[in-house]
Amino acid sequence: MATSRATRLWGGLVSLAVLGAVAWPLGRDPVREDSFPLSTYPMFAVKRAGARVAIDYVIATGPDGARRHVPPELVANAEVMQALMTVRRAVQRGAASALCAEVAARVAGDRRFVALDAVAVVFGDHRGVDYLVHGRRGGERVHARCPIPRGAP
Amino acid sequence: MSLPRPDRALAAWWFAPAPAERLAALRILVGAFALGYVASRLPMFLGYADFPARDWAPVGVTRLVDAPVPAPVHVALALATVVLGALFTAGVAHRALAPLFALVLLWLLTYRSSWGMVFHTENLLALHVIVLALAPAADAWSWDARRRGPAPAGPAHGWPVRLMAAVTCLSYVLAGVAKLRLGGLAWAEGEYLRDQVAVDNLRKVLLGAEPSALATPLLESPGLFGALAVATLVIELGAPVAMIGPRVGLAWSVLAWGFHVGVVALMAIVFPYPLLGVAYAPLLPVERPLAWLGRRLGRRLGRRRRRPGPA
Repeated sequence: MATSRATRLWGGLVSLAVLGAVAWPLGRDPVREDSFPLSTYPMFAVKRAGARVAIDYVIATGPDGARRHVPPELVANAEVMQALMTVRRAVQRGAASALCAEVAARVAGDRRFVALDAVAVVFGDHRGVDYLVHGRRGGERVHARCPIPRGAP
Repeated sequence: MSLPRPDRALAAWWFAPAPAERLAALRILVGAFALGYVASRLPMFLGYADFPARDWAPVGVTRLVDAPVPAPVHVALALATVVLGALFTAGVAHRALAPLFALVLLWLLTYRSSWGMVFHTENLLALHVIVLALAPAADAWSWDARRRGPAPAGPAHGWPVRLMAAVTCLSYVLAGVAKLRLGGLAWAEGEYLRDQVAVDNLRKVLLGAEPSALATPLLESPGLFGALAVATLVIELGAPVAMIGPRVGLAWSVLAWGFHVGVVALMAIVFPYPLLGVAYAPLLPVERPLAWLGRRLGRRLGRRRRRPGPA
């Protein structure tokens, strides 16, 4: 009987604490006050008017107008969103040139970029459906540009 | 005959006895997932030791420190998570080591979300491990129970299973509520979802990652996204029905799993914990397939031992 009472007391306390903690984000701002592991789960909930994507990213360019978007593992790590934050923060603190040089050094050792000779940190403002479905690119502005360092032949 | 008071009925249901093997099966499944998840991504987790302190944006428990921890400490914690994860799964010294595992796992997963991007793929894993660490989850099928044998079914093994199931369901409800809070009923019309799919895939393209192959053709059919949005809200806000019983739990789990398959197909975003079914395991009598697997394995090993060796 004592064991059963202790079980109920402990189980009740843990259950109330955990459920209360998980439900606690209901009273918080879903976007600004997200956290881990007690999340407001704002993913897929936010309005993306016109599917507009206005972000900073890194591209590699070639002399003939060729271009290739630099993958996240050469910018930060394999996480796409981590790469996004890395570029955004570098631009915000005025360090786009430094990031450009860092990425260019990594790109230099990657065979996918042998035909390209420069890296640029750019800001682009595109519409999702226009870009993906109709192939219409929006405007771009270059924050920093740097050559891909290649060793002498 | 009088009906039981609602609070007593709720308590009776919450503390209804369950076999020790069910909780043990959850410990093994969740522990094995956590171990595999961290071990297979160890280089990525260790890589956070090299992230610049200027990008530090703590959330949750990492708010306890003003700056990233020194690299050797981070590496030690990541490696400790793997070792403790193995001991947790095997049920070794559960009362002492399981809370330690829950703490280091919580720290490691939170640390990953402390660089400006909060990830939503690991919340349930962290919460489920915390519940298992605070429950007698090694009373069967464990190193701890190898001599004394499995404990009899009792309320101590029932409430943690119900709590884990409730945490799963509540997290889906929260996701549904966030959609209604931010978009209102307009979210169900599909435009929010279509724009979200377009944004996510375009962001991947711009950041040099692979977009979903299905997204572009489907973006041309706006009507489809209305149906998908309604289905999403029904699954998320209807999650509590999964607590009614194993059959409804299974039906809801299949629908929720289908939702995550859809997310992979449309946005190439992988939520491994629900996709592998571990998130829904507390809603099901999950000890039965594990016991069956154990019996088959035992018979096979027994046959191998009895087989005469080569002359």
